[in-house]
Amino acid sequence: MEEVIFGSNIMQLFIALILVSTFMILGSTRLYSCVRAFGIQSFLLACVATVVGISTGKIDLYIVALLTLIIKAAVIPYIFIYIIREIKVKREIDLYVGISPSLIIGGILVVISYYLIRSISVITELSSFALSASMSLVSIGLFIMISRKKAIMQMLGILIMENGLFLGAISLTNGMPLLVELGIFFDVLIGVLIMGILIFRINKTFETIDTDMLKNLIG
Amino acid sequence: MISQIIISFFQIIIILALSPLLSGIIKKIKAFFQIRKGASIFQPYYDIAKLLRKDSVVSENVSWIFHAAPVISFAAVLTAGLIVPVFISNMPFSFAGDLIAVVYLFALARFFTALASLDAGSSFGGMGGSREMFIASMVEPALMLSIFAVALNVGSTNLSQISQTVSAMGLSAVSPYHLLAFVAFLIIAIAETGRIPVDNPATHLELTMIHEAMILEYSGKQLAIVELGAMVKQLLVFSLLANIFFPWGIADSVGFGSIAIALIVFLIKIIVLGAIIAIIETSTAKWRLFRLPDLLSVSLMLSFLSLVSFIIVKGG
Amino acid sequence: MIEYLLLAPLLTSILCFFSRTKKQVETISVSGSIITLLLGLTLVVDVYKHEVIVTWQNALFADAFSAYIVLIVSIVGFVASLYSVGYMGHEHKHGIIDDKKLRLYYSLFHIFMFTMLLVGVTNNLGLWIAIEMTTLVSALLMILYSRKSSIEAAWKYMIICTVGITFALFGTILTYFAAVNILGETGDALNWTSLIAVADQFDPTIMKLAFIFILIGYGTKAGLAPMHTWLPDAHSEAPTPVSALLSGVLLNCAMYGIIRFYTIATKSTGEAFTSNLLIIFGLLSLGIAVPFILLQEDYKRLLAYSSVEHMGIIALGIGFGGVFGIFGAILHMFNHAMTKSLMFFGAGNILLKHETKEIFNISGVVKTMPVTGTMFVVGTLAITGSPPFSIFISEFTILAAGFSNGHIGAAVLFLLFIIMIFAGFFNNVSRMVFGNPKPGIEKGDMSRWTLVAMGILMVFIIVLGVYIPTPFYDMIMRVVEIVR
Repeated sequence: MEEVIFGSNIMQLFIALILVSTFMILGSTRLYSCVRAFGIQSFLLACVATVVGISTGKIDLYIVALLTLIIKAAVIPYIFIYIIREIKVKREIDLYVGISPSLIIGGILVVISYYLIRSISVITELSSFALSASMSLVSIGLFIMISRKKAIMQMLGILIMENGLFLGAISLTNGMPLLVELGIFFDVLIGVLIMGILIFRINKTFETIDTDMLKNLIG
Repeated sequence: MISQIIISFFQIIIILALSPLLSGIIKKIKAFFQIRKGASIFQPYYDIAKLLRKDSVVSENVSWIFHAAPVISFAAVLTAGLIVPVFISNMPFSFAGDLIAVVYLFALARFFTALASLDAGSSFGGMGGSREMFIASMVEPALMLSIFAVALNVGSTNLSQISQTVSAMGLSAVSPYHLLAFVAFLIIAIAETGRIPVDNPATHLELTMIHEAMILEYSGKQLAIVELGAMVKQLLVFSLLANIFFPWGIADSVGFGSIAIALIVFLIKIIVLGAIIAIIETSTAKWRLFRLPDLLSVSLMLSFLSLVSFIIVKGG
Repeated sequence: MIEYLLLAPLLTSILCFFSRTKKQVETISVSGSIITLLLGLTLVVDVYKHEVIVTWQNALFADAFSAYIVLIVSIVGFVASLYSVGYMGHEHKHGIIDDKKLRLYYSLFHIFMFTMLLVGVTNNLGLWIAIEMTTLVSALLMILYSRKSSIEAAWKYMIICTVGITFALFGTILTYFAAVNILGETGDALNWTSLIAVADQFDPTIMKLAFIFILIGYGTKAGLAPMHTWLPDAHSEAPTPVSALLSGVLLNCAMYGIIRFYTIATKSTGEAFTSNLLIIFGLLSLGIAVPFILLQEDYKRLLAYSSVEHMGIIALGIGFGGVFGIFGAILHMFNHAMTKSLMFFGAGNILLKHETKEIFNISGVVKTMPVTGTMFVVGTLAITGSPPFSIFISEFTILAAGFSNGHIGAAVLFLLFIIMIFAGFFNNVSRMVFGNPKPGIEKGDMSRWTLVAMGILMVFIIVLGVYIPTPFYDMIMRVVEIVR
């Protein structure tokens, strides 16, 4: 019993920190700090997976945690930094919605997620917090995608959404079957690579990575 | 009764004695990170001692406000020092005011400093004053909200009681809302003590200075009081940070041994906090003034999240 | 068996990548797709004999529905690889793409085939992974040309579909959650074969939520309105053989995901909830397609919007339910795949000849390209649902199901929309195919390869319009049994 409480307490702390890292992404205007915050977020996710792994004794979760650490906290941020360096993009991100309004909208999204999750009855206290956080991550990721101009930020938004789902999967069901998790990791990695290629192409063809320019195909 | 008065006296003395030291330590740590040797950690004492020995040069155009402001500000900050728990959690004067009182005592100090900066009629002073009030207008609500998040958990806005309860809860007090409120308050602390990225205490560059611009007209003994007041305020903000969010080790009853231990723990806590601030100062650049609302809204949002997660975790 | 089917396109892809000459790569590609087709047919026969095949530690499986999808993928894949020889050969000859890109194209083409086959035969509800992979590969195929418009289309496609599919992942997680509550945390708790047995015990609230997310997620990939916005861009900017695969097969694969979840969710939530959602999305897709088809200026986009319409029809068929509705929908998947591929091939030939996608700049196709033109006209008649072609049968079945199952309002709207689409579509196409050719356009058809490809599809369209062979009928009935 003691250990369960300890586990859930630690878990809640990690989840709170994940929320903090998400707001760091929302509140920053520099590409590098966004990427760094994303790396921190992924690292924290790996911690959450480890904690759940320890308290449930599932070895699968250690593998998942390790993969999260390697792929999401190291490789993907590296890819981001590589892209930012190679295309010599302006380091500031351009916004459709300013930082302060973004933060406020982020806060509202968290509250909405909470009320949505609360309307599902079958959920315990611990996972209710984790699930609210996971829904918040998904919705904030979506918001980042539509409120930032740079193509890189849309990529980051997708990854935040993915992280949110990962958190949701862990807190709801202690993680999906290993085979599925591996597949998802594979897809995410390949997806990031291909989006990277696309960003290079966009930069080469349009000489910018502002998605403002991508408005020719209509009707 | 007598012992309580002694404790209050002792606390004021400790605050006055430690606050220049804290400034010195932060400067030293900063120097370490910037690979400089840096001045001795006792340098602020020498500075203040030197200033106290000098005469003030005062503009002819100033009114009584200019002379009164440093004293009023200093007194306000010291009064706050009677309410903020430093090494003992049940402060004798805790009946006199809670955290809201602290916030407004700080506001009073700030108000008079700003007023004095306008009084001299120099352009820099006005600029500094308006900037200070601009930041204050955002810092205050965020400060209140972040402490409220903790107060909600404890069920009281009385600082002594918050400190006592959290201390008694031990490690189980560490919860998402606690953590979020801490991060929010840390940002506030940076703004409140005039540190990078909000203000740079080490510069006299017209375009960027805020606090330094306000006190530009002061010299000699008055400057010493103003500087000391700022240092005391810094120490108080740090002890709020330390004793609200991780008050463990604070003495909860009067006794020589417990107070001695509490003092040592307190010293360690503020040195750690100082180191964190120093790291933040060296690793970031100062922000443009008009981007500061963004930083402070991060803090505001985190406090808000803290309240929300309190409701989620507790309320169900 | 299933392993070989998956291995064939992968090997072909690798061989294509390392081949040297144009001739070589074409030979490898065509023979590879023939082998894939043969293996696909063998699988169909096997499933016919054994009901369900499960291999590779339960990870891969094939029932009648999987076999049906495999059948569609391998037929259209085979035809598209024939067509590619003609189409990409023409582009290569005119210097639009070089040797390296040609190799890359064929290589990706077969990986694309692989991912779509994988969607059909994954036992796991992690067929999410396979569907996401199709997005990734096809986005790469889209940027084969470095045109501004194709890069824009690829980016939109990638972003919108990835977000959509993220929702589907959430739906999958919720389903898994519901399953774990019943089955316990086993590796099998996402397997189709174990899920379907206990689906009626799942928590209805969770399954409702899961189905909504799945429908939005895979619906994005299937091009259901209002999540269809990427579809016209992507389908019109991809190389034509790929457009055919995207429209004809990939949309079906996403639909397959929706239908699989529909079966599970319906067992738990009751039919009314899932059916109504599908009917709403179906009608919306049809309705949104109408104005865009009526006022379209680009014929490849015209075809793309027609795909939105047809996905709407399939969703509608499933939503109407009953044996008739589902039978119609399943049959429609096949018919639409064949007909839409034919249309895209025809459009590809017209594009190669005229080098423009504007409907107004093209006329007299029947005169300049008699064979292509004729087949294009027949295809137009077929795709708009005129008798005696195959789509008429499936649309009519769905309509009948709508009326007989009491969805009168929806059925009437459905009828209204397809009449309007018929008018709009035919109006646009007749401008292109009839009349006098524009000056400067030489007479003469495109390469034989393309015509053979179109001819094969033509057979399916005409034969299935008048008569459904008994084995094929049996197969669809089995699929209907699985879905219901």
